[in-house]
Amino acid sequence: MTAKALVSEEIVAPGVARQRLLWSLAALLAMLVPALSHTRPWAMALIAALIFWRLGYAYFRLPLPGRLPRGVLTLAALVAIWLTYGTLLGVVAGSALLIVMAGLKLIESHTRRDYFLLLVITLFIGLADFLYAPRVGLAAYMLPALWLTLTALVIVGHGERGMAARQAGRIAASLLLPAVPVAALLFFIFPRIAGPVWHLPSSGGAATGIGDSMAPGSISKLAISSRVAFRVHFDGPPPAHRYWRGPVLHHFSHGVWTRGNTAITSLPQVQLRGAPVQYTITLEPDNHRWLYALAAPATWPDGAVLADDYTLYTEKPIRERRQYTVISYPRAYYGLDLNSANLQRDLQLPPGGNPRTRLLAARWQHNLSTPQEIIQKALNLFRDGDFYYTLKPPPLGKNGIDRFLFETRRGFCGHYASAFAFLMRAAGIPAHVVTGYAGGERNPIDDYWTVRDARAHAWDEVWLKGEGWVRVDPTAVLPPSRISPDAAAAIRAASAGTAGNNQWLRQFNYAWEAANTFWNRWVMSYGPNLQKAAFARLGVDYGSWMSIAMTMLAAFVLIFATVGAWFAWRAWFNRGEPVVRLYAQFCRKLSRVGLHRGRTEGPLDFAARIVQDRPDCASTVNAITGHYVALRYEPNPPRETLRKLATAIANFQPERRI
Amino acid sequence: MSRPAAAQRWLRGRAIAWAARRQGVDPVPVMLHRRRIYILPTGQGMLYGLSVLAMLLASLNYNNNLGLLLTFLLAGIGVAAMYRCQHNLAGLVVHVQPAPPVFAGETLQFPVLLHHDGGQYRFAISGAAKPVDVPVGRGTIVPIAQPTRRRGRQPLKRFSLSTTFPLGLFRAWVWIETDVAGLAWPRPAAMPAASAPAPAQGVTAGANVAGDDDFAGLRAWREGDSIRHVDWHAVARGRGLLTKQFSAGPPSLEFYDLAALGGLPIEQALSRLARSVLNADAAGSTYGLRLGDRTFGPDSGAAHRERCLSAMALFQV
Repeated sequence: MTAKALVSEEIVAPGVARQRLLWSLAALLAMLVPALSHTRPWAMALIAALIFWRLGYAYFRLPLPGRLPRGVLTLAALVAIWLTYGTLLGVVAGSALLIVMAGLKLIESHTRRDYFLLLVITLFIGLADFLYAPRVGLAAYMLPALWLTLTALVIVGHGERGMAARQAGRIAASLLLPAVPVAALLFFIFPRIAGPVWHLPSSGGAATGIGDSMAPGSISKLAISSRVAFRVHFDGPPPAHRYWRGPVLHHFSHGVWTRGNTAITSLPQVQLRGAPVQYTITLEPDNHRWLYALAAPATWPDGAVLADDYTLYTEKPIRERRQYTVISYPRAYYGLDLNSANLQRDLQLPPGGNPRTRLLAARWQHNLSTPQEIIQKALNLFRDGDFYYTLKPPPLGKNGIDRFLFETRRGFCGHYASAFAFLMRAAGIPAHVVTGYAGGERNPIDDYWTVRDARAHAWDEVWLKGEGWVRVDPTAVLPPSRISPDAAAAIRAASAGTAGNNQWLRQFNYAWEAANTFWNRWVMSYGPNLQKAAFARLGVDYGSWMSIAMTMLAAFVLIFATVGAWFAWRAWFNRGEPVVRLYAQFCRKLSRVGLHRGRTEGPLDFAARIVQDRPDCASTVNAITGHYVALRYEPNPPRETLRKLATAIANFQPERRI
Repeated sequence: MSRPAAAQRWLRGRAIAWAARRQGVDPVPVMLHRRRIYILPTGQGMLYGLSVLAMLLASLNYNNNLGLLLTFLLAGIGVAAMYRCQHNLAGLVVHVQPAPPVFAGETLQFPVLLHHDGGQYRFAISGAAKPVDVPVGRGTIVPIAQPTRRRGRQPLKRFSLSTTFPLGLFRAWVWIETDVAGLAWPRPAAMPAASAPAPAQGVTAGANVAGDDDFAGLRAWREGDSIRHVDWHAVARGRGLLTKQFSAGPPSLEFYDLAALGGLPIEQALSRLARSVLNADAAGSTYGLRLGDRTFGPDSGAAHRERCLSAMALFQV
């Protein structure tokens, strides 16, 4: 800090200094609120302590730490962040770093420049909030928070004299308003690049949704989660059955189904049949690689790969919300051409264990002639055999399938799918477990289907000669009476979000979901592909450097022209207070009869000239000028003078001299 | 002087010369048109720009559209702040008034009246000292100080009016060069001149205290004058800022001649005469002044004193 700054800042009145502090603090707190979700409590506690310390200084002259303690505190905070997060980079650690920096800046903020820096850090904290959780609600919150920060910037920028908050707020609004169309335009045209420029620690947390293995209990955790997994929009009528296929599990050992590591060499063929269904899915990031789709996808997005079991996956885990369109043929036959070698992995069973199940399957295989009969026999067992659906099944332990089929008979979709696949394999029918989601909730407002984690499901596919893979959902055969009430209630609550049965809340939920969907589809998913498509619709190939450069240039010209025009219009619109406007009206009336006021001619000089030229108007012109001069230059003109001026000017009709 | 400072000074000199060629000398009052307003980002503005750039890179890196929106919004705010800064000066009318005379060595204060016929409230406009606001329809005076060294006519040098409103990101300024001048009287000698002619009639009847009793005339406005005494009608007529003077007190008589101090160098002689005039005036005497072949008075009062001092200021320069 220079000596000059010291001198100019020391004369700040205490009231002004507090006003600056309080508004800067308000802006900082506004940006800190969303950061609560991703900041460790110690960092929040630190900044809270520093805020109170600074307030204590402002109001009770509590001494602030000197340079050395501040330096030690800074170093300690850096070490603490390093120890907590293992890095100083990335969104979460970076956000903590910014928050600590803001606190440390706060306790040394006295000058205009200090506060300016503090508010810039505040803006960065707001950015980190966005990078962590880009939600429509946060965006709606951020606009007033930004306004508050701007108001603080105006107050701080006004220097030692301070400024009324209302006035500063108005000025901030006058800056924010023209910035909105600028931001919209830049958002639309700014060239997007695919993929990160450089790799920083990911913004996402742990993986959610469906994993790549199924152990007892893994799906029941999802069943009570109301997290949105994805949203679907059907182009046309939705299909009757909506089984969203995720990872297919081929390998069974120790009670756990996994994807296994055997792949078949050639992609099995699909025989298209029936009507296609086209739909667009907006997938929430879950740190997995699956792209959920209905059975037999025929076209799929760029960057996705079709696996040999007809699932779609991406090369990298999905860390940002992703939108993709798929055309599926739900009635297609797939896997028709598989031979016995290719089917081996779906007949795999561990060498021992579950002897009673194996025996039952062997008996069926011996007694029944067709696979269809065996499948029906297994389904009949579940339907008629006193099986119950519950989210809290008893633990199974070793030989879990034997215990489930013959003893406990209580479980959820994972248990039924697992037991069914085991039975089929033991009876010589190729089968595998499919995990994914079933169903979805239609939002009547925007016709989007919301699929939540509560809809997570596991079912089976069996291979039949001449039909390929056929879906069998053993859980679906249970009569509703055998679904335990607690499971039914939990699933109902989770699948409807938090609304429960309240009609109004439900309507609000639908509206909120629709806003989210719109936001995700049109704002959040606007990336390189959508941008290219949007420009193609305008007839521009937005890929070449030339077109990008020209568009950016045009945008900059447009931005400067519109913002300039906006302020010019404002200046014109506010061209004067009533007195000035009335006088301008008077001058216009005189202009019409050929009496023009010089650009710098004083009103009294002008009046004197008119009186000489046009003695007929002398008395009126003198009266009007007298009122005007009184209103403009006298310290406390009588109130009625303005009314007199207005009346006189309204009645003033100078005649054109011939 | 360090090299960057020298380079900065050179650049500033070039810029001023260029602006002077562009604008020339302005007749008063000066209307601040947008074309004569210069604008550059301040240090804070540069920091803001860098911050927006950093936010852009972060948002692009995380493919975060919301971050991009915030970044673009801040960029738009920057552009808006630039125009708002310019409009804070545009449309102002600058009346540069002649400065009230001072003694050589003192500082001339040119009262620069800022006003605008409408438009918006103008915030924090800096001349030389503290920033001032200019409300709609009401003039505000910015004193422009200019130190003097010698007596004589003192043209007001080029000065600038600037503003960093609203966010301190940009500084907009104008250079104003007019033909308005002030006057520096000869510096009065330190002591009453012993060799000065004795007063012809040395009766003093009380100091000539400026009071509120009787209207005694008008003189140029000085800083510190009550705003209630400003003759606003004169302002409206374009005569500049004048203060109404009121006084009370009877006169007495003295007479001074430059020729009587013939032995002294002219500047010293004028200094002594100035001192004599001041003393006589303070004593309320009636006095006269002879400079070569010109004679002033005998007379008394502030107007006479100023006439004498002004004549000495301009004598043989």
